[in-house]
Amino acid sequence: MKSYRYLHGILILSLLCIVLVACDNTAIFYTLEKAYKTSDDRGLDDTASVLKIVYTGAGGKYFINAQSVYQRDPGTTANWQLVTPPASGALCGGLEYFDGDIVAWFYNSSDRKPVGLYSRDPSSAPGDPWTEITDDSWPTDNDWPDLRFSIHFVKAAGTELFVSTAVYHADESDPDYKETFYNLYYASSITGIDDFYPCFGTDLDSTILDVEWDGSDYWLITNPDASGVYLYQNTVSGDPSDFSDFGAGSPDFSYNSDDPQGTLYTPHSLYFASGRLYLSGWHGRIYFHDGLNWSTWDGDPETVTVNKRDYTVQFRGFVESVPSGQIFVGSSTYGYYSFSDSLPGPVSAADLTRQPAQSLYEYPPIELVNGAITSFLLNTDEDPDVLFACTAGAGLWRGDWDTTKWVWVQE
Amino acid sequence: MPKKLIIVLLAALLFFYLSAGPVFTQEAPEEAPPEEPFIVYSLGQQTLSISAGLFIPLFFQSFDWEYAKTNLKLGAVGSLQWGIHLSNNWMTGLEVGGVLSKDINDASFFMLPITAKAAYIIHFFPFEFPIFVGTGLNIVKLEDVLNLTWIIKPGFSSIWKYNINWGFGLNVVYWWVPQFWSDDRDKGRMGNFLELTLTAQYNF
Repeated sequence: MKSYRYLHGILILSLLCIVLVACDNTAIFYTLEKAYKTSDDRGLDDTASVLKIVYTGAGGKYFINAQSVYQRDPGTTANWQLVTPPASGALCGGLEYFDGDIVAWFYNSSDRKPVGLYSRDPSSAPGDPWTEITDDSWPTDNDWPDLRFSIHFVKAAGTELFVSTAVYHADESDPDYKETFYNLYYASSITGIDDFYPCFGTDLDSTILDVEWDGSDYWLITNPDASGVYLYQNTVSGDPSDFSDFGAGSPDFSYNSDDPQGTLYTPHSLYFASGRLYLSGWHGRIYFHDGLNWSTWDGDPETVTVNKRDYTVQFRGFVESVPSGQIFVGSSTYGYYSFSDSLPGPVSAADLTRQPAQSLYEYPPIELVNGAITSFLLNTDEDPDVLFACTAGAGLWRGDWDTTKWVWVQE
Repeated sequence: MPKKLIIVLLAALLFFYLSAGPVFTQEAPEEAPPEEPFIVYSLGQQTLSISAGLFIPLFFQSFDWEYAKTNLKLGAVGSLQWGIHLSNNWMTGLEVGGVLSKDINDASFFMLPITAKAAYIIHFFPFEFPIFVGTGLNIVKLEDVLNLTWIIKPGFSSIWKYNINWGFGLNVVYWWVPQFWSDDRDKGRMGNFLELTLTAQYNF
């Protein structure tokens, strides 16, 4: 009987020890007290993948590409409205605001064949039709089964609108022949007919990922080709009609055996802010060009440890968070990071801070901590300033600036 | 929904009261006998109880006496209790409970108190009114964050004795859950909650 009593005591003590060891260093009641409602439902699906958001300027509207295009007015009450696509079943593959128009690329949801490039007046009603943009510069004949045309992105930079194209060739008589040719086209205005000109006289064999204007020059990045070339600069300053390999001095995207296993050596985005051109990489590093040289990265990439294993952070799009004096950069899995826009760097992982910087449950939405943030948009026309974060699979988040930090809510 | 449940609870109380009326009427002697203590329980008798009902978050209070809302929604609570009677009026026992609620963002919130309990039972046949206090450990969980706290649960019950073994009634219990936080004293909070439960008890 006595031994049973001891046994019970040991069991209870063991249970208590297990609970004590499992306890977290987060005060739950305090955390609950500080919680705020992170939903501001504006009619969007909370699990939508939002690729991009654009703003058409003061008195204008927001448009998003969530495969379908939605629009809403600025302000605290407006809801998102679905913009009728140009054809039934058409999905949006690229969206931009340029020269007073919304420009969007659509493809067919069932077979991914191109529907076309379209524009619309942003002040038009959601149900109003789109206007097709045709151009002889690229093939559009979908009836030819050996060829597939697509647009990878649509982006305004400097004074131009750029579209990144891919043309897939196959030959029914030669099953081994499969090639994709990539190019970038630019237009200074949109009339709807033959507005675009190629940036490369000869197509590239790597996907063109992004293009940016740094105030004087155009830059573009591609997937690294067989020679490791991925960074191009306009041949003549300010002229997008020809680009050449930047060559020596390009940031390092070569394999590094010290990096965690599975690291991808691919650039992702270019972004110009505060006199610098920033370049993000899927290999956990960020570089900048200060007008003279590209920076170098010191040491290990930015990593996140999960279950005692290090994973390289895959950086994506940037935004300058003007109210907080920071640059934010999204990632594919681990939310977003920040660095000061007045730093001499960032030149190492120590210069980056994973955001939101307050600890989990105090009370950042977990979707922004452990999610994929594809792009941002800052709008200082609204009062308070708002910052949008587009996510993959977690809808659209809006940060309202409360004079010290962004307070995130899901639209 | 909460209003409806409160109405149901009040109706149940009213039912117990009304059903007790005829008992008094029928059994009341024409001449009241000399008052004697009414003995229901004796040393060693045991009671098992099961309770279920509403968990009402009231407020948080800092140790600087500032109040704040809990940001928790109305929840559900249930408990199992074992008690042993020391006399007709005194009982001691153990209770294991569980609370399930959600915060304003629908994050899951749980509490699992394990308490020792002492009760003083006032008899008013066929009713009993135990006044009790329990204290012990409380496991608190918000999503995947876990804390261990101390808990004090004072309260009272109204039990209608259906027969010598079975009783049914209502518990009203105040949960006071101080969460001291030595890492940062400003994060210490006292949780204040209310339990309203229907209960069934079995004596043997």
